[in-house]
Amino acid sequence: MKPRILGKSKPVPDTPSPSVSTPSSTIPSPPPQSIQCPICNIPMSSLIKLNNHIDSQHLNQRQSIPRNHYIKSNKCHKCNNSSITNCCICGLTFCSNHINRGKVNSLLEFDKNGIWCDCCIDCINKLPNIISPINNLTDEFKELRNKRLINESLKNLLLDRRLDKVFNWMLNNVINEESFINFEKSLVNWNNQGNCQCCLNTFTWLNRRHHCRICGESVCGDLQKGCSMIVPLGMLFELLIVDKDISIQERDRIRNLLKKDKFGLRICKECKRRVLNKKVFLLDKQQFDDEMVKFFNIWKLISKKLESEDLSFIKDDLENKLYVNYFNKLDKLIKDIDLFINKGNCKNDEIRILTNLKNVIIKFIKINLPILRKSQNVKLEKERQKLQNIINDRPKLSKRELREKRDKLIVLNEQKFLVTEMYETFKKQRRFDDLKTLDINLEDIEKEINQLNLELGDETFTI
Amino acid sequence: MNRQRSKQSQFKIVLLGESAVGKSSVVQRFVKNSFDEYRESTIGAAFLTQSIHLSKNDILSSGDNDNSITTDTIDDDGITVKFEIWDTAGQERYRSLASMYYRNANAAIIVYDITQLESLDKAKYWIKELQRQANKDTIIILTGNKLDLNDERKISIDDVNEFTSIYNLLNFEVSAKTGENVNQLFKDIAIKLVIKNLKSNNNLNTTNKHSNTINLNQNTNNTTNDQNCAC
Repeated sequence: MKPRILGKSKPVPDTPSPSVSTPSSTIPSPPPQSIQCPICNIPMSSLIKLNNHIDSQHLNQRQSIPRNHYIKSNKCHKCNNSSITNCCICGLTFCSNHINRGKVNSLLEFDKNGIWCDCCIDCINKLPNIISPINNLTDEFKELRNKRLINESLKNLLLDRRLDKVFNWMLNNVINEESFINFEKSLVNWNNQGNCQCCLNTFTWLNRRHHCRICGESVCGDLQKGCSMIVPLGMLFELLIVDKDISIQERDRIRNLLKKDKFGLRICKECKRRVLNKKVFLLDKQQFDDEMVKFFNIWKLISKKLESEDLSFIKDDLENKLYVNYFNKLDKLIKDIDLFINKGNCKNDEIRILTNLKNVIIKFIKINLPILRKSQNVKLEKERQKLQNIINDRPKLSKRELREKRDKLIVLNEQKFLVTEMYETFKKQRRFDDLKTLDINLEDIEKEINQLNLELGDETFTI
Repeated sequence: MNRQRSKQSQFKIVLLGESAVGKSSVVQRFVKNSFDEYRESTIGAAFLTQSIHLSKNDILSSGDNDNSITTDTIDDDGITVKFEIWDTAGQERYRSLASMYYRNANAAIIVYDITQLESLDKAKYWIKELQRQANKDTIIILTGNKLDLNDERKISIDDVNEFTSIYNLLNFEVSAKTGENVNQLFKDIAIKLVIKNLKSNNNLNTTNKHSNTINLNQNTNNTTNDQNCAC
């Protein structure tokens, strides 16, 4: 039972009791002869006695369905999925896809008066006559549903019109206290009901009655339940302009007007759900458009273009430049997303979406960049070869030659170092006549090194 | 003219051969007259210099002198010869370096180890390479080292003699450890080089009357400066 709050449980004398039914214990007990056991039709003096009766007499029947024919297995008999449900008729195990429910009696037959048990589809299909004819209520349901939907949409339309009225008033009228109060009351006729139309609590001198300015119903002002609240006009205006076409000057004018405005319209939960939420959604979407959707659109655009291209072959420099440009853009996009996340005005969900987007982009780059690099290398190699053929006509060094030449270069560099050192010591020892020889030798070494460098070209340090 | 001649009193010598045959030891014995039992192997190529003095008699009595060089041609003091020795490393790694040093050497000493057969093979390889690549004037001297280990000898002198006679090379056997024959080796080289030099000079300067004597002892420091002069 809910704890009772002062003023809420006591019904106001002249108002009807709330439509929500209260638990049966509070209802005055019906005449004794109306309580019967639904199974054996024995009359009972009270519900407690009936409960006890069912527990003691009829519960055994539930357990009377034998289980000794159950087969222990953890695989579905039909599809080998893991399962633990036994069909109570054939005893095999089935998964949830192949099991249904049927009424079974203690003799393991389908019976209208039996107990709901798990039965496999096969067993049910074997006894088609047991299944009761289907009562098709779809059309009826559709009709009712349609009717209700039309009602709902009509109501929504009405509320929408009223919001438009508010908007037009804001556009065209001088907003001051007097005009506002007049307008507020002219919008819709107020209904005076005894209880809140949202939470159904009755109004008392503590729980005051208010009116929703859009639909005119009586609502309470409980902020915790949020049955109704005063929406400042400035905020309302921001919501209303979402799907309206008005000039920027006009918008700014009214924004400035409503900035320090203390007026607000009381709007109930129901109206908020029906019309304002739609606008809030639109507003959110519009704000999204600025950053997140932009990121996504850029990503989509680039990835689509890149996927349509064959990265494994580069035709010319222009194409290469184009591809590199795409990847640069993706790189920049990742950085932008990072920056946007780090700014800190994102909600958790937004961060998650953006992080996911980032991961997708990174994955894309990881997969596709090596392909591009490879084809770039191929292209470079081709160009280099072409150049060599044209200008130098020098045969490409074999791997062994290359190694030998490199080794020679290293040895020469060592020797250069040694001779330079010798040069210094000779200088200290004032053996000037020998310096000349060393000088010549150094020159020789230098020449050889230059020659080797020339031969090796770019391959000096590549492995 | 003097300048040009005095320059020739310096001779460039390069040592080649398998590693660990004792090239550096031979040079050390010649330059410092010392011997290290445990020498580290040479890195790259080391540069050393040593001068020896040749008396007039040394040159005139030399077997190479075929009477074209007379007493007049040489100073009474004899000739001082300065060797610039490039001692190369024998390791395979540094083989490419050698060509730079033997290219314009006056003499190449190819050293082998008389206790090791493979070192002679290597020496033969060097001889072939020198005959192919080096200056034709370069004198090649095949030298067997470690004469002190005569008991363990694997290469007989006769084999080598046979080989050298084919290629017309000088042939020595020395011991860096005991110093046996080392100085003789360099002295012979010096005489050979000097005579060769004098001969070529004679051929060049037969008409020149002032070229009776060669002052090989001129201050080399001066010549260096002269050489560096741009004119």
